[in-house]
Amino acid sequence: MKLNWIKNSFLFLIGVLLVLVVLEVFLRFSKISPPSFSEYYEDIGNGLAKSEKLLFFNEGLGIKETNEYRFYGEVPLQEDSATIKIALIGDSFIESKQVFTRHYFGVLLRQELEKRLPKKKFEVFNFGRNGFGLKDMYAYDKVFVDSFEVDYKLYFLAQLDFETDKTESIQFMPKTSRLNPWTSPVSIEHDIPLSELRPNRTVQLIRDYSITAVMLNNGIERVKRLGLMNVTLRPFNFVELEAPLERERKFNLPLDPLVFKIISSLDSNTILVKRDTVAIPNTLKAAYEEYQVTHWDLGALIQSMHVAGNPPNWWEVTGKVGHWNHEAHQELSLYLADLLAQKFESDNIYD
Amino acid sequence: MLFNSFIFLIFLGVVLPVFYSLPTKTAKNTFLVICSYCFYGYWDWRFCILLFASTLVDFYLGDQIYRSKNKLNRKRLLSLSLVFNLGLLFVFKYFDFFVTSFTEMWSMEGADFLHVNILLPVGISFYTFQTMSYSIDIYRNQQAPAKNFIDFTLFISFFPQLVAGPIERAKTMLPQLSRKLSPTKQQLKEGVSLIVLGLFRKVIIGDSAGRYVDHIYHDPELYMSIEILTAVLLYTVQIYADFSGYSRIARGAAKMLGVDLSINFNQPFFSKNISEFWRRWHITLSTWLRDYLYVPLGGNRLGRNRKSLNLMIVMILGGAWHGAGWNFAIWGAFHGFLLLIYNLFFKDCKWVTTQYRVFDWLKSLSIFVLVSISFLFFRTESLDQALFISQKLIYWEISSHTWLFTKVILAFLSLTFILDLVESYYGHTFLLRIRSTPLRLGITSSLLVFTLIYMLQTTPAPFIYFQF
Repeated sequence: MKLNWIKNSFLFLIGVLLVLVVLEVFLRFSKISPPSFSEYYEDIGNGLAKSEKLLFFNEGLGIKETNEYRFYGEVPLQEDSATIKIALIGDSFIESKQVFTRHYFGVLLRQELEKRLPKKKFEVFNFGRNGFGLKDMYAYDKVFVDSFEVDYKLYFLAQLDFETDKTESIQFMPKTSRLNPWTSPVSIEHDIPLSELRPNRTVQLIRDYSITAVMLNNGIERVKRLGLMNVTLRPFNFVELEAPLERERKFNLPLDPLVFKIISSLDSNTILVKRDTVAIPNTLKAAYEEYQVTHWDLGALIQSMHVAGNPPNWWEVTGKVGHWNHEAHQELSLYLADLLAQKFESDNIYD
Repeated sequence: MLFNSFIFLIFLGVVLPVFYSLPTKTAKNTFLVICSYCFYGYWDWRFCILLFASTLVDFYLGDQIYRSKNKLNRKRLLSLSLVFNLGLLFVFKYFDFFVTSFTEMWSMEGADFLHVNILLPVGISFYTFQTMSYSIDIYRNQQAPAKNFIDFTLFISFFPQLVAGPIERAKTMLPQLSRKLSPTKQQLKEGVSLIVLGLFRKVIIGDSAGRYVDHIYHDPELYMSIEILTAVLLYTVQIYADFSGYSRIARGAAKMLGVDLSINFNQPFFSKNISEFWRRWHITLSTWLRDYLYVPLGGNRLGRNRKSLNLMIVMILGGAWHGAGWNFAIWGAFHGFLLLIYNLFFKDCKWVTTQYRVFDWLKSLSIFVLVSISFLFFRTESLDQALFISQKLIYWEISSHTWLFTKVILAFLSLTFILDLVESYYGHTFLLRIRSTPLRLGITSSLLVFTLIYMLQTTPAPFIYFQF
């Protein structure tokens, strides 16, 4: 009796494993769900995996390729003085998993700059990471980006990056190293134990190697985000979805004191770029002035796209509002090329 | 309610136990009618009014045709039924399209008021064809009218096949519905197996292929040749997995209620010629068009030229049945043209009829390629877009993603092909052929769980054929 039970369980498991193996192979080749894209490194904590090429389905269809240096894109890293290196640092908007690399605003920006300044060469690096706030960007800059000796660093920031709420809730995400807010200027510490970064090594290992596990995790996250009732009972809407109108937003929460500390610690070649339409509060403007930080605002561009009926974050195919779409990447590259050209002129970089 | 949504699984989970517990045939059928209307009304309750009107009219007219002894009167009653059903289709499906085409042709400005702007009721093409065949069969004395209005209402509204077929005939469905429905153990097993395999095809193969297709077809100018080729080939995979998956779920759900529905797909990409393809693809529509359009037009009885003309008419109308757009008519015409070519030049050709396995594979491959090309017209929104995509495929561009997309194509084609191959040997319920019960349970349950995991992480995609 007992032997029979063991035999049946074994056969049942064989059936389950058989299906899992076939599906894992199918998923790996069909690329419909990407495996985990992060890797733990002693020097920078959780970073991007080296030399990977993955397809993403989110609001759009995107391909992201990492290089041997653990960031996105094919970068020759030339050492000649005629090459101007620009680092784009930010969150998932800058990472842009929604578009192919050739449609990425960084790539278009490089092409546009080379068209305008044919005597110069440009390298534009994508240092965007999903979920990064200002503190993560700063830490990533100090422990990683700095080593590439770029000429310009563009931090892309949104309203939430300045407010206390977000910075408190993320509690120094162990994506990179820990920021110590009590020192002045802000310092970076590498005191996060491995166990804290990878809370359960077995779970992490399964997630790293099994796409099915990643899919299950995505499903659980979706249920947490939308609620079980919404996921299971919502009727399908056959009516064509339309892009929602841009809501007017303001700073609601007090500014995070750490923001001012970071601003005071920024390198002189750093440019803060506000990537949303929310007006900057006067206190922040004053801090920019005080520490002579170059700051640009994409608000007018984004607003003009909304007014023209092309919301920059509207994805018609999936009916989602999210990250920048193809048109936004195009417009953004031209806009930034204008601003950078002016900056080069003021910095006498043409000489 | 979409079959690939959790709400449908919950719906089925509630309907089945209640249905099994009901004691009489009338109670069971009445309950199923109520459930079917709830299922249909879940999209929009107003659709139910139309469905009921169509049921009422054809029940009455069918009865009157049968009772009438006067040939002319019978003809008039049949015409009334056809005008009503085709009128519904025309108003809800084609009217705006004809208005747009007419105003564009004559450059009429300010003619927007002519549009009726009505939401297309889901599955209208399927149930109107079903009701029409009922009236025509009675007129032809091939079918007696339904005696019981509940049975007839269930025949029209039976939820597993209401919105996307199979298009059933009264002669196969009504006898089943006139008995007390009680599924056998074998039917229950087959039902579960078909639902699991249908969901798997639809969700894992169809929906995931659709994610590539939707993005690339929406903005083809953004993509390179290999990516366009992926979309073109995967659309064929998508529409096949989507529709055949739906048909399997429909058959499975019906079996669990004790009803056997017709097989709609029979490994169409194993066809060795285009004529065979149409005997394996959307079988219930093909046979409907044959019996109620091709044969009345004269079929192949009036000579070669007339046969060719009939074939073209049937294929163009069959294409237009799918939707109000020139692209569907072009798709139909393309298939009509392929059938003509086959009938004229290849049908009696010796090397075509040679039974060598290598040749068979090549023939099947050529059918897949031709059908994929035809679906290019089916999927694109305009002829210009279809031509643009064709140009991209002809003037090949080199892409750094060639190997990546080649792997994607191979993955989808392989899984589809393997499933079809297994089905061709062991039937649509091949899982039941596994003798070891624990092994079968392991495979079936993990296929279901995996599909549910996939469904959990994405919004359900509607079946392509719902819009028809």
